[in-house]
Amino acid sequence: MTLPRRWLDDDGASSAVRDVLRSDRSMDPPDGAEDAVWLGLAAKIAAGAAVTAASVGTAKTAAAATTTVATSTAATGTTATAVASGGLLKSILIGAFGGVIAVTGYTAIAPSSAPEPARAAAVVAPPAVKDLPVSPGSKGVSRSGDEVLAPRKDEPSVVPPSAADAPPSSGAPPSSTAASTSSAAPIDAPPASTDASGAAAPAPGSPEERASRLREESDMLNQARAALRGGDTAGTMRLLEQARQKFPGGVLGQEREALAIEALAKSGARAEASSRAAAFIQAHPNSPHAARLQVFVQK
Amino acid sequence: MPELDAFEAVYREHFRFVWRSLRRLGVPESDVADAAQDVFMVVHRRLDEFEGRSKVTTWLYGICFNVARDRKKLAHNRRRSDDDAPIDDAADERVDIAAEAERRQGMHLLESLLDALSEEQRAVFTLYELDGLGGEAIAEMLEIPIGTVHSRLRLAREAFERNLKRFHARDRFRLASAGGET
Repeated sequence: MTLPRRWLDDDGASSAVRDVLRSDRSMDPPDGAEDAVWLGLAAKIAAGAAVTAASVGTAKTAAAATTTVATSTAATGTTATAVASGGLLKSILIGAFGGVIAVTGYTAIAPSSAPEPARAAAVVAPPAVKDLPVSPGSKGVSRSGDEVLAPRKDEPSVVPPSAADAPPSSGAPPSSTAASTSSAAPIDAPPASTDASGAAAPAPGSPEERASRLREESDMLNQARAALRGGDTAGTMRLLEQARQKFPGGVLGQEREALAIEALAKSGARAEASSRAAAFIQAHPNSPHAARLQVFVQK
Repeated sequence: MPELDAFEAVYREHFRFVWRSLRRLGVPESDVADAAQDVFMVVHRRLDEFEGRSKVTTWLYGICFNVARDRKKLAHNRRRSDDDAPIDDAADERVDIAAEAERRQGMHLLESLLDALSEEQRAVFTLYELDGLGGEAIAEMLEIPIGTVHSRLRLAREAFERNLKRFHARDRFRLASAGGET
């Protein structure tokens, strides 16, 4: 038995079908995604390896891991020097997070907005430029910007489940959360200090202790990011606040603030997002996040 | 733990494959970087045991399939991906909005048509129609009989065409404000 001809190879197939199948080119990874994901991956592996290596008594794996990270960081043309000079894991993680965050959902920002960090520009380059689906115009799917956007509202009717998935929180006003966040600042909260009590617990300040705290901090931020992607801006702010309390001077402070700004903007608190983004950029002009946070700054 | 060189070789060679497979299996654009990372964390953990018992791509696709399914469960009550692209609305002054909108429009239509298929049909359909694999290769990759490949492809195609027709009928109805056929 033979399979039918592939629709894309079959001139007899309906052009509507072929047009929509061609849209799959938009499912290719955008420029820079490969390196950005690699950085995140290498950081995770390095963090794991650091713990293992320290407890087993050999630093080989960790060294190997970090070397690779440094190499590929250099390859993407970013913070090679920062990585090379002390604060290894920190730089790695920041770079990695910057990369991954930038890739996830930011493909829409034009590179022209990023004059300075080469990596940000690469990551952000819109795939649309390269692989524009030529198609749907003829099919009445899209003729002008307005019409393009209009059908989307009804589009979920094609897929029954998504109707039930309707966003619960688009109208929710978490600006109150935001306000409480910025006003209440329990800086003296000493949360994780019990770590040192256990006999087997790693000594405070030791590499393995730092690595495990890093992992915990990054887990918390990952949860916050997941909440944000899910549209739950209030939950995002709550998780970020927990992370801030637990890790007041956390290594991933920049990532935390960047996520908070994004959540604020998404929740409608544009003014606060703008002022915090401006403050962030002033404080960290060379941060991988600076370029993309620029879009939140209101002129 | 595998040597990092070996791991990176697998990563570099198959990153694109993994990314595309995840997208085709229903991981939304906004999640795919995280999902790809999940896939390769599994690869890193298990590369030593893998030992070439099957083709690498077969192994990877199996991991992608599981990761995509787990993420779908997790994301069950999340919004559609075009809504959770976080700063589209804030960033759009800098983008060629129309081109971007058109690209997303086509992609979302394709995604929703694929979402309407079962996971199993979707895998067969995308491997055949989009990745250009042959029937035997698909049977091997999904570890199913060739007859099942045929039947799943047939069912998937029927559903895909039916849903697309329905979509265009509504679309015409909306644009022309005239009665569309169903």
